[in-house]
Amino acid sequence: MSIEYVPTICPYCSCGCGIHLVVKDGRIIGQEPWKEHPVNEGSNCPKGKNAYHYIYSKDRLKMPLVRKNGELQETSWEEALDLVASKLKEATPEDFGFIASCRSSNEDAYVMQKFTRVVVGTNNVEYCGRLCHSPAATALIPAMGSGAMQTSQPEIELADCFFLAGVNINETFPMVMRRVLRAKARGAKVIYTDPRKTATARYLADIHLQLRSGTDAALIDAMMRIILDEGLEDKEFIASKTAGFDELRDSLSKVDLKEAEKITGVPLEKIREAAITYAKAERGCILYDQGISQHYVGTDNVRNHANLALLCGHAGKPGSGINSMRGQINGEGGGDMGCLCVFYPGFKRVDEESAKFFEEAWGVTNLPTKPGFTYIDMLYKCPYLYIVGADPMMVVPDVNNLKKALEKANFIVVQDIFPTEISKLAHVVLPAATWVEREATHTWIDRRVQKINKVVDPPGEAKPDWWIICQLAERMGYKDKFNFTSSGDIFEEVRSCVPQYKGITYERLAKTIGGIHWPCPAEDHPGTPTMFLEKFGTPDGLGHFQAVEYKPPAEVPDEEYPYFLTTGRSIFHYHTGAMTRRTPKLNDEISQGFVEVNPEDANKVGVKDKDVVTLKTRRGSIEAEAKVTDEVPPGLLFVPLHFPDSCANVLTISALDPSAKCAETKVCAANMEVKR
Amino acid sequence: MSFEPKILGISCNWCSYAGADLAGTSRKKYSPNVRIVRVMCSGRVDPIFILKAFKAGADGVLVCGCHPGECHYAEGNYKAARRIPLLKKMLSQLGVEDERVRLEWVSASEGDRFASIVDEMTEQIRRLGPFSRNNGGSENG
Amino acid sequence: MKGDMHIARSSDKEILEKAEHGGAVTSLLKFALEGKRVDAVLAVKARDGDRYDGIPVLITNPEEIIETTGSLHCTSPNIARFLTEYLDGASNLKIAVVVKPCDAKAIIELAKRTQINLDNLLLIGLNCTGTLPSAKAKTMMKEEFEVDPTDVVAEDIEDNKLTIRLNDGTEKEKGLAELEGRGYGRRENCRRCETNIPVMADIACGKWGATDKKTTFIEVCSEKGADFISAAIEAGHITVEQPSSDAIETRKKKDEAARELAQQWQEKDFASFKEMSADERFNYWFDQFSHCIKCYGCRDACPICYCKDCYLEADRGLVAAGEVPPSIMFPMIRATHVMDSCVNCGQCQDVCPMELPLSRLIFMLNRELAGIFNYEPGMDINALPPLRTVTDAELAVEGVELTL
Repeated sequence: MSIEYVPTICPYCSCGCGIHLVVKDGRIIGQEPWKEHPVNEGSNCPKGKNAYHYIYSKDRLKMPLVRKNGELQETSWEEALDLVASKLKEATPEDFGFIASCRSSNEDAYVMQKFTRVVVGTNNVEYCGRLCHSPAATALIPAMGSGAMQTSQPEIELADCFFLAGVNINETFPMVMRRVLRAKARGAKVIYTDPRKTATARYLADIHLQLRSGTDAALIDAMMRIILDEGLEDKEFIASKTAGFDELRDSLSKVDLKEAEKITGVPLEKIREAAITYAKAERGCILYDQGISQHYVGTDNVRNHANLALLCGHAGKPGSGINSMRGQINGEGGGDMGCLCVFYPGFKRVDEESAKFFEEAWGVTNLPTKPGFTYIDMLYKCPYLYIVGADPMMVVPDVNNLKKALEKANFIVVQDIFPTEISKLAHVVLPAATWVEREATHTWIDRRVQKINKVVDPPGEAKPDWWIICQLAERMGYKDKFNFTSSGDIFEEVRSCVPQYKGITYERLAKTIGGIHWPCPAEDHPGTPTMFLEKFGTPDGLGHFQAVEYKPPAEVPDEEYPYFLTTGRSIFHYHTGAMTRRTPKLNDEISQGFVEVNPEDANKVGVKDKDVVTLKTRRGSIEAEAKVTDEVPPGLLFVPLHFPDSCANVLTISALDPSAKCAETKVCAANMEVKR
Repeated sequence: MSFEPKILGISCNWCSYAGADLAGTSRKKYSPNVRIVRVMCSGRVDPIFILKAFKAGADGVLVCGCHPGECHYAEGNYKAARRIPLLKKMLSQLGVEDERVRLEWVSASEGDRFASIVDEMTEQIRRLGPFSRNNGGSENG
Repeated sequence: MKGDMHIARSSDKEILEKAEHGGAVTSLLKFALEGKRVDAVLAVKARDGDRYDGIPVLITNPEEIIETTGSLHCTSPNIARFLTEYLDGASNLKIAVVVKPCDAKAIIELAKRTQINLDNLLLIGLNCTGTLPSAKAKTMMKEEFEVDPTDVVAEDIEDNKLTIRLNDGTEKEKGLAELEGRGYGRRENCRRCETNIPVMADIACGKWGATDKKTTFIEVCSEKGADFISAAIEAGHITVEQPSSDAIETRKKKDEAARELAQQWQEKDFASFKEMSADERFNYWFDQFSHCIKCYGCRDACPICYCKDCYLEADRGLVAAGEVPPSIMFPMIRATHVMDSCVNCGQCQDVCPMELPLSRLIFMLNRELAGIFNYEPGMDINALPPLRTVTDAELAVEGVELTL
């Protein structure tokens, strides 16, 4: 009898917490704390405590499935792959779209984008990071040179002022909350912006700016205006490390503070208090997430928060900066590996120069030089779709409309671990291995690359994502470019053409608990926990101010749809819920969709706690159980995105940020009535 | 309007419930603030009942059992005598006044005594105020 | 016989070379397997040589015992949990378990609750004055000792000092008080733990009272332990001598000194709570528990929390499901259920994501009860948990006040 403690990293969010799996006779029978791991030091959030159960769920996809006579039927890899290859050969490059997964490994992601570019010949490759963190790229690359998290999780403790912008860390990043609490114990102050009075607002924040949905840019403008009025901007930093201040100052001179108070709904004294607290801090740290990103003005929102950081000199120091909080195990890595229609691996912009670079690196010709379609566009425009570990039918706004488009697609391949909403529309469904069923690296939120070792075999015929893609590549005549026999082979190739990863090797990762932060240019380089210590990553090394103009949400309440509707997450579930709904201890906490309704609003329309209500927007309607709570202010409804039966994105509006192409899933207009 | 404490009274079937009953049949006037729940023995009272009572809105909990040596089940009341101080220590550390939980031995003939205990406790809780005064009642109560 | 004391060393050359303090414990474990006195040994091993990641290992091959030599001070695996969760409480497996005092106490409390079959266990106790929290210890090595944590091959705590030995043979030493004043040093519960010698195990082994660094002082704490030691001596695995009365005295004094220090830490740890007014306490705990994210880490780690069907689960309806922070009922119920028997193992506080002072709270409550119930958790298998017993003295008590 052998019972072994095997260390690995939690499969859920982007913090990257260590756990010990308890393995007996080749099966995971439990998990125990891994107290040595630097991120979580033996603790875990509810999801992390129940990490492995989902892999043993009975409805894991085990066999390739091909739709025959309207029904998905089991078949062999041979048949399935031959079919897919033949279909893909039909497609012209523009007609094909690849959606990679935020949960696939770096190796998987790398192979997926290489396949799309080399075999199909298009830049139509995206991953779900488009839907949430694209503004990080569009706003922060011009501002500071990179959209990745600027400091590291342990160093967050050094901050003396946190600006939590649209990120309910109590429920979405508990491990980061642990760091914030430590800083608070040393006197740090926490400012939090969120229309909802979440647990973060009630128990963590010192100043809660409970702003009206979608008014973040106006709020930040007001704060910056106050900071200038008080003379609290960091003049030395601005003079020596930034560019574009004059334009910002001009733009801010037009800010009317009383107007800002009206727009945001936040009392001016509170805005003032927050502004002064942040400006006077030694080391301010902005942590932000979907609350400011998932808007049609997401890029502007992030730009403005970057302005705030630069204005006060809170960047380029450990525990400081403006930090995008990615939510998935490979949210960072998917982008690093180039699963974006505008970036080759390593964030080389799609253009002739990059194409040439990779033609040399890969030994190919004719790589595509024009940016491809973004995620949502791809789904509407490409009749041939390959979707890995993603469920557009749950996460794309205006799902009913999307369904109509997808039903017309010529050929949809879904590669996943469970049947999902999108797999119901697929022509071929391929079973993938997950997490500890394969050897892989992932890159967590603070650019932390860690390795996951294989602990158990995948069920049935399920295979690693990269293997499946390589099989296809072979059938389409590119075996020699996809001659990988292991994920190690792939990682070596990654290292050779992605400079940020160059110094990271499987051996180093095996010896470095907690992983290595990129950029890591050489094998003896320790990695880079905090970026921009000496200068920013922009061409001139300076931080760039980018003045923005406040625009109200795309759709605001009116008589017919009198409420703001916003969407978000719960600590017990994970995104589309595929993994957590199949984990009993988590699903027992919340097993069905709900809508948070303010008691005043509930009273007005006769809704009682636990009543089933119908929520309707111009896009569609869903039913959900009412949760009467003052967590939402009057006029705001909140729906989590985890439940297919109460799919939040049936309701949301497909207003897209013009540069980032993420959607305004955080605000639209809705109405509500008790279900009769 | 002055605050009317809500007190849950958990009485054992044999002695203390009879004692409470006697207070009633004797037409003894006493504070109406106690709601009585009968259990077979004070030893049945799990500290969780008391916590649940507070959560459900009680401002105080009175547990009554037979005098030592007179328990119908021989030792049940001694178990209560251990559990209640334990609970009170925990409550006290968490900032809840431990006077809100009270253990009393009441025999079947002590109707008057039961009444005066209730009166006393009602006034005491009235002075302490509602249980939920500190946390606004809604969260974590 | 129970109460016997020996100065022991291994008779095996290889073990003598590789092991600390004469390798007596290593030899005894090897003997336990070779002599078929147990089916397996449960010990702690540095996973892949990582001294900061001690994992429980179940060994059936005597040749593998030597891989577990040397005390790992910078790690704190939950041995009692391993036994109950993965070995079915030793229900049908005879196991020799290497235990620190807290492990032994936890095991005994679980045995009282019929979760562990103590008859199947041979408890090989090791003296302990504390362990360090793994992740923080690595930082301490870097920041305070200025060494690469992986270069450390041994740690020792003695006379309030922490000494480390590096792989090149050099040693570095720092005062524990100094380290602990800067937030490093031992785990909080270890600092206040008065049980340095595991007399509740079958044998208690340590360096106090040993003649030199190549011997181990063994106190026989039970008849089972006495049989075992006699057999081991007879089979030639260890050689023993009588300790001098000086040695025994030295050991006693060291224990007393450590205990005094622990009591000072207890006072220090609990002082702030004792000084707070009721309102201040309420606000403090309300604030602390408002950070709870219902991970159940404390409940899972606690040896006293053994219920298969826990009251706190979402499907019990007692603590509202799906809420963070959970209702204050959650910590109140946990405290109420375990405070009478808390063994101060610190596992709960180790794993709390929000670093709530759980062990401090519950052990403090336990100390208050210890006076009332006259009960010391984990010391005596025959002393039933306080809520299950009634003493003769109590039967004579008239009022509601328990004074024993």
